[in-house]
Amino acid sequence: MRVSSQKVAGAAFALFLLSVGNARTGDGKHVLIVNSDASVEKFQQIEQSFSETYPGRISKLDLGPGAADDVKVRRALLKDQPDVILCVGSKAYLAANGATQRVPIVFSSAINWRRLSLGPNSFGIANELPADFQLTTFRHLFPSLRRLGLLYSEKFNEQIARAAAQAGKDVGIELLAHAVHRPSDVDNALRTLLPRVDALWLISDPIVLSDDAALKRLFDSTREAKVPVLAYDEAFVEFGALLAITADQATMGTQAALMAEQVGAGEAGQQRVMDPAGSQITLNAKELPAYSLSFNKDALSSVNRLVR
Amino acid sequence: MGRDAMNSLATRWMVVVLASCLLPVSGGVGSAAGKSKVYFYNPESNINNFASLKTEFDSYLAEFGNYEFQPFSSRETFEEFLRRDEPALFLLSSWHFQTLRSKYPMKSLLVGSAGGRTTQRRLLVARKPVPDLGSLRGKNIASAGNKDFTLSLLGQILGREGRRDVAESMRVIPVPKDIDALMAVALGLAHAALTSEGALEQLKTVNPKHYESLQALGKSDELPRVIVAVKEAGPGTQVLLKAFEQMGSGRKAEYAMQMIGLDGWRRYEEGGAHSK
Repeated sequence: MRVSSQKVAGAAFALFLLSVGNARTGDGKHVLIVNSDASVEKFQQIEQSFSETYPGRISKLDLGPGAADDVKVRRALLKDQPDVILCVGSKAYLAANGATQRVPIVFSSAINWRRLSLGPNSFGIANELPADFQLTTFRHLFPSLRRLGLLYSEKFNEQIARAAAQAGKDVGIELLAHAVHRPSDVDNALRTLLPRVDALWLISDPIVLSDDAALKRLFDSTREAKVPVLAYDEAFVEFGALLAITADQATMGTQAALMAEQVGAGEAGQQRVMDPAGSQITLNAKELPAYSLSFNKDALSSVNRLVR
Repeated sequence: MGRDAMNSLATRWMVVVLASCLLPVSGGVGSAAGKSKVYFYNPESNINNFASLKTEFDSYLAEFGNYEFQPFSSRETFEEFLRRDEPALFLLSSWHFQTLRSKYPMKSLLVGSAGGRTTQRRLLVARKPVPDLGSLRGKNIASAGNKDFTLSLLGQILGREGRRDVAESMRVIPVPKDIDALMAVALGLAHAALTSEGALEQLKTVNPKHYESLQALGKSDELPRVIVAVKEAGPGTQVLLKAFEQMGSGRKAEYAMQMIGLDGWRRYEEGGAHSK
């Protein structure tokens, strides 16, 4: 019975600790970094640039491979009593959001954050570059680009398609966006779209890229039609994409650190999720001769990785 | 001394003589043994295209001799190599060159050129309207340069207006390239940007709407572009200089040059007039 009473007392004390407000005083808010998997290079980059920028105390929790585990996060919260949590990756966010609604969370590297149910105390840096940013970059690199094709599903990317259409007008690119409802719509959509465009913009969409076979068919179709693909991830360069543009991880880490400082000081702005401010560009130069789209060589200093 | 001992001594001397022929010649570039290095570090650009840059430069320089291009992302590591006595050529920003002069005697040999100009200015740009420079106090500034370079130039630009205090209060967000810094301001991700004149002109062409939303608040002094320098010129220096000077003509080094934002090199003596 005594053991049972001790357990109850311990639990009550733990609950008390979790429930009280921030008992810390003085400068330097304490951040707990919860990393979805610290062995993943892009997550390491975020953690490193955050750590280099954030002035306060930092403790770390690596969730490692496996499913989201909010128990690990609860234990870390109990032990470290952070003022703010930085979540690197979607898994870390899901675990932290499940563990606490009280401690403010700043997330980074969460794929398509709009699919997450953001808690009331959540802030973050989006993982995807805004359409405006991407189309401006396309125009900068390919001055002759006039008509850009886009396949998308209304379920996942209607907002992006609308934003892109407007952004295209600002840079003189006509966006020919074709909505698909099922994976089986994609092949016909490509047959309709490809003859009318100078390039195809590939965005992250689970209906358009439903499986490996769909990916292969897409690249076979674009190659046959001699239409270059401008993609959202460097991995597609291996399949023959002409260009890949992604958000820069180190910049996102810095942005997350500045946001964590503001959030910790109770000065979070109205915009809870910010777009990433830097980009990484891979140009598959060996594919250039296959297409009539001309490349602006003066823009080569903007290319991070050149595949030759 | 017996025959065996003499033979042994002679053998040892032969080994010493042969070994000394293989040792690197001290001073200057282009040693007889091992690869001679060309070291590169640029605090004015955050772009990390090192693997591609090395491939392009190594491929070009191989036609002239046993040379290797080595880019650095860390100022400290670059300066460590600068301290060494090994013969090497250094590619560095003119701003960095000026800060190093008192510590390491170096001679500038070439300056990079782009569009006929060997110099460029940095601009402080913000989103309209900017009521006054004081409104930037404590705000974020996006820059492709590293923190030291950015704050140094900010101090110069704002110092002219008597607002060095504002420069010292700003928080630097390093971004990979100048156009990223401008887009960050245009999209409201940063309050200001330190960027190049060239990047602002590019934005005018590419996205006039964003260009019109921005305002240049000040300019830095004209700064020479990337410099080629040595600590001590030697026999191999001329070979490498010739290799670099030829980069601007023909297609062989086109990618290498454009990746560092240049289209040619000109002879440059520090303190001398350089054509714009």
